[in-house]
Amino acid sequence: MKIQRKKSFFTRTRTLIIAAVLVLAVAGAVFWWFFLRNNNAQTVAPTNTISYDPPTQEQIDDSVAAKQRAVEEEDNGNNTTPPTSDSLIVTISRAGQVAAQISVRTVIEGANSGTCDMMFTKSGATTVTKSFDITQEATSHSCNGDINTSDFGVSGEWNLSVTAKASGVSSHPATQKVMVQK
Amino acid sequence: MKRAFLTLCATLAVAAIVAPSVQAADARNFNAGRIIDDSVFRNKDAMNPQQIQQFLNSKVPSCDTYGTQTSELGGGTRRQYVESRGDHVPIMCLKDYFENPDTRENNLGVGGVPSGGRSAAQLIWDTAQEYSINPQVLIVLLQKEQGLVTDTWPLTLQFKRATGYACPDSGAGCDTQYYGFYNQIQSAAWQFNRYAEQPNSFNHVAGQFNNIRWSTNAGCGTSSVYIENTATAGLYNYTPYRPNQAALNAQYGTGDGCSQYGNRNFWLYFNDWFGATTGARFASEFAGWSNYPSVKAGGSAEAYFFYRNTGSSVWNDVTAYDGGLPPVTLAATNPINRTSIFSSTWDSPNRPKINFSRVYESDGVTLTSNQHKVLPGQIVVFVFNFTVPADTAPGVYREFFQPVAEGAPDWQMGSVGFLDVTVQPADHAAQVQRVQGITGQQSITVERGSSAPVAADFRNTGTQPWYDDISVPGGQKPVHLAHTSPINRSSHFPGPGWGNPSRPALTFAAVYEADGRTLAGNQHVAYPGQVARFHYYYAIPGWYPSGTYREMIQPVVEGATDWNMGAVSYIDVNVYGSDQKAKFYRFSGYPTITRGTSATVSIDYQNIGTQVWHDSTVNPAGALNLANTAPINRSDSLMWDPGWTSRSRPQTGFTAVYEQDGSTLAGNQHLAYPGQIVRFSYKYSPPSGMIPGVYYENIQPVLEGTPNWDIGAGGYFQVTVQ
Repeated sequence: MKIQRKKSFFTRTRTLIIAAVLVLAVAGAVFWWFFLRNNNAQTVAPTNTISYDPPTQEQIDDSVAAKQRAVEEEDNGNNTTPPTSDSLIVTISRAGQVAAQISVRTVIEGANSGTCDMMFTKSGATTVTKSFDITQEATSHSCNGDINTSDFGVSGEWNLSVTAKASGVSSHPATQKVMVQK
Repeated sequence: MKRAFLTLCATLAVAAIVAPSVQAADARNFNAGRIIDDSVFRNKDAMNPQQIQQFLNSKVPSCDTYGTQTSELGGGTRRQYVESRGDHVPIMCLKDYFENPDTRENNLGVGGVPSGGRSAAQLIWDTAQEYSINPQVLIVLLQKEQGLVTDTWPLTLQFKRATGYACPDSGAGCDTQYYGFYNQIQSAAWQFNRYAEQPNSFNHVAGQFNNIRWSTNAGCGTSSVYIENTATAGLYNYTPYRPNQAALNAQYGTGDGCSQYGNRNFWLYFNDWFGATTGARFASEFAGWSNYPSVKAGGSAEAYFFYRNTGSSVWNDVTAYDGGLPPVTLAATNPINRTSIFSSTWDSPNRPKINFSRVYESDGVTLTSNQHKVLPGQIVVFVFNFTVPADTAPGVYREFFQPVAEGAPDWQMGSVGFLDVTVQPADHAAQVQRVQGITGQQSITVERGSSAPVAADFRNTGTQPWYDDISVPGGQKPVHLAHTSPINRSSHFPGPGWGNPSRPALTFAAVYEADGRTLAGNQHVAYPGQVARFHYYYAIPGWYPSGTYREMIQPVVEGATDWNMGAVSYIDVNVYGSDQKAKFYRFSGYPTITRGTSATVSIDYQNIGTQVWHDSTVNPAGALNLANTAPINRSDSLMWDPGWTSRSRPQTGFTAVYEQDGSTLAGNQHLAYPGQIVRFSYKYSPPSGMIPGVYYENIQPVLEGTPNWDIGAGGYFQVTVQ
């Protein structure tokens, strides 16, 4: 009788283990089907939800980093060094024709004020040169110009060169080709 | 007990595996051209003030009001640190911040609520409403610029420069006139609104490629980004840097020397806190449509659809397509790419318009500066024509349309709509009844050099009678049968009785009642419903190559503006015949010769086969020679002339070769192409002892030494000997 009871216990245990393994296998398959199969899908939270969860540690760390950056910028903000030709940088965001104007948009780094010269050249045509002021944007500075196509002698591809000038220093020129259709 | 334990273990194991978990946004899914959709960015009602307050509370479960904890920035406790910077306790977290928007008085370092003070949550909401900006955008902006939302001990300077407005990322120092929490969120929201309202005035613009710096470090260079919408362009105008892959791989962490984090953090925080920043790229809604057109068969009517861009992306038409976003066109649908019977003036049979007709601002009235792009919120109109074929049966036709993003996986943009086109009977319209040859088939089989008849029956489905050339009254236009595809095409097979090579028949051969069998009372007028028959012949030139030729025909109202009655049909002309065949063309006349003298005669043959003839100077084998015949190779001992090649071959070289006109000499005088004409000249010389009388000299052209030497055209000269 003891032996029989013992067998009965082990049999039940084995059955339970097998059942558990089967359940785990099925659960694993379900998990794979729903969560891993489409691993190329974007893993973003549902739309129009508001998370009232406390911030994650990553977010807290980022917040501390932002605070430290703010402190440093506040402390160093007035210690601006004069620009050099290497630190005064022009980036042409876009340059092209909009209606009857050539629109040139640039981001300027290394100066809060000054000017930029926009020079358009084309072989056999009179060079077009215009100057515009560096202006402050939300978190950057820019130098933008709109030049009438009537200022260009001929239609075709022109070479644009933008040079920023601040505190007596000129930047390296930024260049781009621009199509002009008069 | 053990069983219960095992069961519990198994259950917990399963639960651990399948329980849903909150998934954080993955920065590697950041789309540089589409950080956030306009519809999300401008959703000013995404949260109310209470929700904003509740949200801010949740992000700072415990504010370190008295700075008792250790400062992460060094300097002892947080209180000691803030006091070293001139700040005071109580420290105000964002959730507890109040400010009077008029006096700018706040509760930093003093606590309580200043007179007229409004909470940060209220100020955020107020500003969002004023500039139509999603308050969640402002919340994220506060966090990504200063970490203010989650900061448990924020400094005064973080409130002063809360959104980073007028604080260049290059570290050039802030413009202090924009300091202050309310001032900052107002300025930022105002600026974002300007970006949307004056999109072309700033550095980055939607709907085209833009150069965007990777970093404030100039050595890191730029990348070209196709910015898909105005909101994304605005974010780049505000923070003109694109996160590089190292920044994206780092999630909220630090990348490399060329990493910039502003736009990455905006995207991460927004996704983690408020859900996806993007909805449908391409979506539309109806903004108007034309009345249902009613048009006579053969006529056309204008129609249009107005659609508002309710998606996140710019719509380009085919003209503006530059390899970026797919162009948006108007498609015939239900099913998609359905070919319409009214499409003859469309850009293609299933695309009424591939370019925008007009583009309006969101007011639906003001034309935009760029008529080939539709920004989110703007409205486009597609104007097109329904051109109804003349033979369209009267009735109502339901035509479905929808805008589509060509070739995109998300091409469906909604706004499937229809117009009911009512087709009225035309003044002049026709319907094919039958076109057939003598065998009753829609084909004829004709040996070249001969002809065959065709009968073409058309029913008058218009409202006006048809007249032929016999019956047409003054002021009316006759109905003729025309060759078509293209209209007025000249046939190669004009037969006897044709008006010209493009008009097989100018009169009706018969007119039947509507049953198509009973002859009508007037055989030269076909009234509506009656059937007119044209009867004519196709005559195949003797030289025309064998083959099947499809001749397209249709009845036309000659000289009328609505000449096209539709009913285009065809007859297949099967041409056959020997490839080597000659036809007698002309001769010099019957000669009268005094015996003992000679006379020159000539005879011309046309090549009505498909092969080229050559004479014996080119190659004696297979040459076309003139032979005596009846019987063939008859040796002529009476009229023979020494100039002959032999007694049975009066002439073995071409005397001349002419073009089809019979007078123009051909370029090669030893070859005769199909259609060209060969002349043989030679002499008859009756001897002096020949008995006077009339003699018949039988001759024929032969292909020397070939199995098919007999190419027909045998004949004779009647020679009178005096």
